[in-house]
Amino acid sequence: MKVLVAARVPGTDAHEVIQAHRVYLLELMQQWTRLKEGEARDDLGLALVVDAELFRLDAVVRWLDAAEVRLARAAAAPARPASAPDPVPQLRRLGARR
Amino acid sequence: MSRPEHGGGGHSAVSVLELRGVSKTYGQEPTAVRALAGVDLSVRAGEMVAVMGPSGSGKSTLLTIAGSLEDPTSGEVLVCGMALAGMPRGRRARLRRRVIGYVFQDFNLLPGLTAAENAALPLELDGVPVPRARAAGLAALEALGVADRAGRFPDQLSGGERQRVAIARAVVGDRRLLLADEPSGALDSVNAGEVMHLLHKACQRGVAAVVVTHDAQLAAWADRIVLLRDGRMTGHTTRPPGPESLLAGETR
Repeated sequence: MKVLVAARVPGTDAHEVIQAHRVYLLELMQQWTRLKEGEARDDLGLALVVDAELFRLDAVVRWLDAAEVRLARAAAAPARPASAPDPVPQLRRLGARR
Repeated sequence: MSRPEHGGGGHSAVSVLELRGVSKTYGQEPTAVRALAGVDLSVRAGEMVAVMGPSGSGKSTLLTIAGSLEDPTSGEVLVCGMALAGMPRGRRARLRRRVIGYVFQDFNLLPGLTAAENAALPLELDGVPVPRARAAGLAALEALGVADRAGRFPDQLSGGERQRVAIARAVVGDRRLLLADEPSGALDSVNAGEVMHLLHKACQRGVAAVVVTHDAQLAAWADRIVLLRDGRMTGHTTRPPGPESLLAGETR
């Protein structure tokens, strides 16, 4: 969400936002890894929880990498002529009934 | 703030590796490719630093320059306080053999040598008498939990065991600096984590390490993570608080 807002708000450097968020996530991952190296080595339940959290944080870091590439490509691409906005896809809620 | 369990605790504050304004450009203008641009990096004894970045960001170039396998176009590299620039070739080769250990993604073990012979090889090449070199090689294998595989050849070892032997070869004989390029890239996630754990343990014994990886989970084993992009350092982690803050639900 932060990245989306940064990409839309004029004057905001989305790459800076991404970088700050990436560093924060990596620091969290370092802390979880210390836990894995310490207490979780002898505690299977804790080890599984730590692994789950590390994979979750890793997925967010990967998403940030992908978002950064996508933003860089968008910035390099020629601007599209101003025209009617893209149609908003109609999303049907799962399980919704008419 | 002290950080005994985070590496670096109790070890010398002197940098084992120091890069000062290091740049590297391949080729000539107008087709020159700038691989590194003004990189500063200092790694102390007992510290493990991970260098992260996408493909082509200059990670491997940084490692080859740090290991004196390549010269920078500009800037200064110091290993154990000694500037590499202008160092005679023989002395530089000796420094590489005695001080620096390398770990590669594909292990690079010699297939005709046993695990013990592979681990002892750097010392034998450096002129250490064979019995002493073999004893040191065995001790290194022991520290990495593969002493029982000492007599086996690389093709008789699993991927994880091969990398342990490769790490033993890299740290044998009191090396001060460990340079690892995607050291667990060929392993599954559990074995990869184990390899990083062993590298971290080596650092806790006083070795300084630079580990290049694109994998955040592996980088997280390091005491400090440096981010590289287009040859420039774009950020780094600061020392995180201990894991107790996670269990206490502390956020920022």
